[in-house]
Amino acid sequence: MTYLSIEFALAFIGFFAVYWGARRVQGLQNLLLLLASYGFYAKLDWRFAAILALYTLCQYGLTRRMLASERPKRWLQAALVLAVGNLALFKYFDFFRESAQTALYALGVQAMLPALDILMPVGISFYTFQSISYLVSVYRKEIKPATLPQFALFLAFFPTLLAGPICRAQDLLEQLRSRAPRMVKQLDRALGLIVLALLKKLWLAGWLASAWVDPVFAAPDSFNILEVWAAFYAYALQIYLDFSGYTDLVTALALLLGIQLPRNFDAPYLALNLRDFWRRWHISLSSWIRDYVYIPLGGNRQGFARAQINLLAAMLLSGLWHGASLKYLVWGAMHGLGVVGLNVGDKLWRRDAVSSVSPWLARLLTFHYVCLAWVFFRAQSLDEAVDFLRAMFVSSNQELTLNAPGLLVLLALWLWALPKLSVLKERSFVRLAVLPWWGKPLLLSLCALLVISVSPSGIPAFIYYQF
Amino acid sequence: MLAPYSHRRILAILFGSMLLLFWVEQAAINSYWRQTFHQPSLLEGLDALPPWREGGALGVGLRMGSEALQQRVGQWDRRMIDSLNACCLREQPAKRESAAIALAKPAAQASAPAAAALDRRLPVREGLPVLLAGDSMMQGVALHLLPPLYRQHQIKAIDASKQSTGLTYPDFFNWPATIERQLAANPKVQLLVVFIGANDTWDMVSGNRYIRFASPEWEQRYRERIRSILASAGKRRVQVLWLGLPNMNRDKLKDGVHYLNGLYREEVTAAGGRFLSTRETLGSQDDAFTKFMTLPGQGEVAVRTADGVHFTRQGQVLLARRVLSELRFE
Repeated sequence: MTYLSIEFALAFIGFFAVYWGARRVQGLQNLLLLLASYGFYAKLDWRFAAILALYTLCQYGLTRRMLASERPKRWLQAALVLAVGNLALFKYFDFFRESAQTALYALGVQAMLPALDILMPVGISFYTFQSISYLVSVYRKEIKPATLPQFALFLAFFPTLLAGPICRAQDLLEQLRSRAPRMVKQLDRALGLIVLALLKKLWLAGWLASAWVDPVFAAPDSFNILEVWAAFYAYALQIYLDFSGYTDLVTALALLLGIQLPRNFDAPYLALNLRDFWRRWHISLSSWIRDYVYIPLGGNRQGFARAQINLLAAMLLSGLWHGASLKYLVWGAMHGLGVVGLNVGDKLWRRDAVSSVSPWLARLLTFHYVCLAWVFFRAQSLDEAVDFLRAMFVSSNQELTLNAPGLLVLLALWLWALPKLSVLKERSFVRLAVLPWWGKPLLLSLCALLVISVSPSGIPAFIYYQF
Repeated sequence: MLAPYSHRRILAILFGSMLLLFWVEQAAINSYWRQTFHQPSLLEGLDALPPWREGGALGVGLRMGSEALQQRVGQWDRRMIDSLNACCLREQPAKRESAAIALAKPAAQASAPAAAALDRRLPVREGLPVLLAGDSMMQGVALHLLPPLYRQHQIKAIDASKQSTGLTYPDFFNWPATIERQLAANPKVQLLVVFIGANDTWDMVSGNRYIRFASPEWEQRYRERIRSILASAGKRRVQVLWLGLPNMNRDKLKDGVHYLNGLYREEVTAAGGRFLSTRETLGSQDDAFTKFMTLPGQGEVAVRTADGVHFTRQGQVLLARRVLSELRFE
């Protein structure tokens, strides 16, 4: 059951009625949320729910020991080891086993490492990072420790469980245990975001994937060079629409439950440089990496050179967080080296040298660098990424099978309209607010119908579920 | 800032939107429900009410309008592509010098006529397209078929595979019609590769009646659908390579796949096509599911994913190689 399925929509409306029926008793609302979250997760796979429950109990126990101990740092370290170890076991075990096996063979050792049948729970990377945020905040005494049900709900909150945004304890946990009565403060925003999510994910991302990205990435050299370039840009747009569409949808769900989620995107392709890009793309992950990896490593407090090393390490980790694969490492390294290069350039010349002369040139350069890194992200392996890049630069005289010039024109128009689109979105929400209440379902269903009628059939899965 | 709505009113808005959507999209929802839960949706009980049926008619109209629009856009696309091709590009397979071509060519050309007669592989001509059809199993294998086919043999593969589809629910996705359409649109296709059935071990629906999986009536209908695909290929002299289902580790599929394989094998062989068993490629010699297999130089490697149905990347690669080894390139 994914967030964009009919059965989820039905279940959510039913849950909405029960949840707000209990609005006078906030404890009961949270209990309902907890039960619904675990039910939702168990519906995917009961083992996922069991792993999360066990993990929650262990981390809760360690937090209590940390609070009672004379040497809290030791308990914090134990909890962090548990968090990272648990994630590594589920996410990286197979990769390490196969690598170690290959290495043993290479050394002539005929030993067989045991193959474990490990299933990676969806969302594990997200709730692991959330739990670390909680542990550190409690250790630093930034927040009061949570009760077990509160902590369990903070990790399992169903709108953010599968693919984020990665919430901080100071934000989501505090909202969940706040005594202030909950209410749906921004209904029109929520409704608008649902329509936007359908538009982005169901129609546009689906169409870009099936018509352009998937066929061309599968065999880039069987396409004309124009088609390869079109797919190069199309993937950048697809992944943005996919992930930001997902974020819009879960933000709307949370708003309907009276909870505000952190912002995850801020027009990333309008970034003037790579540093700026990371302030706008998957903000909940990049700010998490900054606060819990880059700054603890020393940040920029130990001189320029050390700051660049810390930055590169943080970016590599950001790549590896997506999966145990060389391609993600390359993707992280490209972004890390890009930002380091930018910092060195700023030092040698001056800050914002390009963007102060021409913001559009700066945007285009940044966008192309980001697209280039996306090739490694999207390809199945490093070899495939290299094949794709080769096809972009080796001229071929094949006939077109896709309307590449048409798509390139559309993409250029989209880039040009981008600054206006974000303003348009907010304006539409305001317009929606003046519509009488009975007009909202008419407009909402009409928009949804139009999107559904032009979308590829079937229930889509979101790209970020795999992380 | 407007005052927030009462929760009842918000519920009415959400419920009203849902109801309107269901009213217009009832046909799509009914077929989705049957395909997913293998039982009729509650909406079907409302079919007796004329106002409810009106919404269905509206939905059909909307769907037809949208299809007509998409067709218009498609035709416009086609015209633009054709004019661009005519003015600026001549049809000629790319002459990309890759090591793969150099390696593959001599082997393909070495077969003398006498050897060819003994060779049981399916002959395919370089430069002519092949069509790939099937469900998510084929989607995974296609990823690793497309590059070698093109790089080594200049064969463009048209990948028509689509997840969650099969032959049991033609209302949801009609494979015989899709394949007929694809072959008509691509007259140069010389080979059809089919890998389907993972979504098919369910009862069929006929009106308000259920036809039990593997019952004689079910089997007759299923065979007709296989034959329809084979006939589409046969009348155009397109060769068929039909991949058998591998062993599965999901309750409903475990026994069903062996039964389906029997149907594929009989029908495909009778029509002069080639049935290719896949389980040996994935390390099983009998009906037992195996997730891991030992590969030379790699040790134990997972070839199946945790869901007990799909393949890991390694499994996909092995299957793609198996398909390629069944073809003789001329």
